[in-house]
Amino acid sequence: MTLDKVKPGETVKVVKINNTGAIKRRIMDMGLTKGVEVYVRKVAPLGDPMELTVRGYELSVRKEDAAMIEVIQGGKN
Amino acid sequence: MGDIIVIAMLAVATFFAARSVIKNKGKCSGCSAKNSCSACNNNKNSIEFINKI
Amino acid sequence: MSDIKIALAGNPNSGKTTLFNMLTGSKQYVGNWPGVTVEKKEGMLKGFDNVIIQDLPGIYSLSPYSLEEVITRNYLIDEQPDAILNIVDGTNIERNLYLTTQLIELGIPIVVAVNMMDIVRKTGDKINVENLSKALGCPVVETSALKGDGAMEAARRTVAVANSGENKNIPCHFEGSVEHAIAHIEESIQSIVPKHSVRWYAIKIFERDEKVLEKIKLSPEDNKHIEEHIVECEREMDDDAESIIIGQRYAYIAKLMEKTVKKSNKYADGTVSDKIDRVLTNRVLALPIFFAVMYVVYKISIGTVGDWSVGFMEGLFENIGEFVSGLMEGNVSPVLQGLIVDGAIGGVGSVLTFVPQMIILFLMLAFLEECGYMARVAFIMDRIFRRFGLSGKSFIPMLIGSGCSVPGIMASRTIENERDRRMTIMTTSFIPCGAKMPIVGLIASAVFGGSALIATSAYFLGVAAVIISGVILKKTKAFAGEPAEFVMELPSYHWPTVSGVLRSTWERGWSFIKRAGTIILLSSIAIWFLSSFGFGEEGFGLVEDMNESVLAKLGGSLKWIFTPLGFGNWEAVVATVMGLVAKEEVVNVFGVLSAVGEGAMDILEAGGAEAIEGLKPIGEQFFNGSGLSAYSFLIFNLFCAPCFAAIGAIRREMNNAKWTVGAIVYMTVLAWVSSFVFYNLGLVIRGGAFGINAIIAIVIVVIGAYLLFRPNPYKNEKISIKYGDQ
Repeated sequence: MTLDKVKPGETVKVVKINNTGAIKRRIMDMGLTKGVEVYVRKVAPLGDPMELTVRGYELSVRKEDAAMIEVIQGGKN
Repeated sequence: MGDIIVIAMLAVATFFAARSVIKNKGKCSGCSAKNSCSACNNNKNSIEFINKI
Repeated sequence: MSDIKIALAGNPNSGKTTLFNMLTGSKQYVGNWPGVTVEKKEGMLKGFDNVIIQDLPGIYSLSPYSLEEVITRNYLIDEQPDAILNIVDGTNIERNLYLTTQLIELGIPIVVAVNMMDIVRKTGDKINVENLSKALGCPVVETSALKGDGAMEAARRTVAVANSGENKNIPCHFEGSVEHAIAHIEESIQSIVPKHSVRWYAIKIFERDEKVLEKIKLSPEDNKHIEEHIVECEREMDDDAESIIIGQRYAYIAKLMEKTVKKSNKYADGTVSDKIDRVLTNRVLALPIFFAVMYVVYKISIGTVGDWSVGFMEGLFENIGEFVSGLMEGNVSPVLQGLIVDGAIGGVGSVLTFVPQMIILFLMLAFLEECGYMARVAFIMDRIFRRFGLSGKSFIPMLIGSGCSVPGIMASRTIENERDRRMTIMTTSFIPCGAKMPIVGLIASAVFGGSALIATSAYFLGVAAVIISGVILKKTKAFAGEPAEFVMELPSYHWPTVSGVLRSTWERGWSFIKRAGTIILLSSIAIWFLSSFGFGEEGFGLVEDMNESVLAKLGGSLKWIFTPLGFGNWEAVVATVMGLVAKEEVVNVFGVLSAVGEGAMDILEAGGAEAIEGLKPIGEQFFNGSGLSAYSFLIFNLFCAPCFAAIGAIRREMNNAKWTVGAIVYMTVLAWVSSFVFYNLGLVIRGGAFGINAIIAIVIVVIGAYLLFRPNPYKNEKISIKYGDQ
């Protein structure tokens, strides 16, 4: 499953980031690394981007970038 | 007499105004008034692609 | 004793700027970064005479991709400050420490200031500073920049470590095989890099950081040897070297967090910030709330406050004018009196009339900016903006642009993607800046009886121009391709500090006042001369009828351009052209010309209690009281080429003559076309004759609609997205 498919209110775990170079680095620098728990807080009023809680802060990511992040269900709810 | 005083005052005002305008040519309104402003400082430090200049 | 240099580093939003201001007070100065012509901020530490504090850009990491990060690390490596003061946001300590671990590796003496401790305590979280200090191997100080606690203590500790040169250099540890590879790299490079930074270089080489590899020219054998170790590591971890480092760095921090931070679950069901957020970014309510907020902001500043302040300010300048005339009466020649009263006081006064409204407007915008709502607006608007070829991040330059377009245009630098950035630069100045608000205020008061709708509509006209431009330009070849990624931190809502809001309001307000005293004063005098002198019957000299003045002749020669827009009188032409110097000039020109035309006192006497009456003559004189002409004039002046300072900013940011000219021409053409369509269709709707102009206007609308709705011919053409330092 990829992160963009996760519904608001769910918590998932990052498995892999299918990207390279600057974008991957940027996403990872912000704390979205392998094994980290991500809570999907909400989706913007117009359906995109989505707001995540990761490592205790709020991050906004577009769905097309989230689609590059592979996740599995997991973590505490 | 009054004329001379008024002209002198006007000349002084013009001089300082002109000097300030020349000195602050091309600066944003905040920076031209205070030499630096928070709006610019927050992105003055952001240096993306300026090195090409 | 030589100066001690301290570099201030930290994440964006960690309270760095507040702390910098607190530590340096008023002793700040602006210089250039070495090697690049970009200004940097330095200040002397209060209470010390030899400690310089250098403010560094707010960054998340020391990656080689964003230029801000490259500049920061180049500064730290090449300039070698004596110590680093690393500001860490205590409420978001995990991600903030990610940068800290990288800074520590540089081997420069460092002090970590855990900021926002007041909020941390309020939420019940506990940070064990002692353990943190032990684990990081450097002093850790608790601070609260808002309340001013600990700031000086942090600075003193930093000076102390700078003097001792101490850095235990206990960096974060990676897994065995990574450490193994790094040890090998360290061995090969230790003779070529400074001793204390060996580990930093080694890790960067492990990450295959191009910038560092360029700098350190490794021998082919070394290179091959190192590469073997990296590849082996990558195979073992099944990831690329860069990601291994990032992943393990965060893993290390997570372990560190267990030992040092105790999260309370006090706000498990959501903090106040969460609750506010749930309403403000609600699926249904978010957009209506945003529009309502903008309406209220303009309603209060231009409408409510404008209503009484215009009258009050007019009265004030009436009194000043009278007082000065009284002083000069009999002593000074009438010509000079005219110059002072009609020219200088009339012109500068007309601009200053709008100061109270602007202060209120700036105050409310500063509040919205500081409390964190505006970052949410970027979040809400991203979807819309992206459809128009912009990014949610474009909203921030536009927001800053509501103060002044120059920093707004500069703020477009935070947009990584070149095409998005160009689009943002081209459209930022459509949002009415502070200097354009007096034009709006003037038209609203002089012609529309002070209606707040005029001001709000000006703002939404600006947004509409941005959107329309976005759609049309996106489909041109120059802007083809998909917009870039959008990864943005959403800071928590917090109650803005009074000092922060006041500071930003004062900066903008003061700049407006100062410009009135300098550039506006100068041009007031120039316009007075040009409008009072001309070639009359007895040759060059004072002219009775202003229509024979030099200015009238100059303005008249350009009249034909604006006649189809409904304001083809030379005064409006001069005002528009002078707007290039500064947008307040538009108001200034009307101020001087109306004063000269009718005598300042006639107009000012009408002011006073009757707020709007004072400006009415301007509406009568220059637009025949026609709302259509006046609004058309407003549209043109909102959209056309910005002031010279903003044009300069566009040129600097575009860094390309063709793009600059293109941007200016585009804006002016859009301004002319919009005014033309508005005025001529307006005439028809009002029941005017259906003439050739109306037909042309309809043709323009059709062409515009085609450009807006045609399928994108370049839709499938992907362009390579460039990042950072192209």
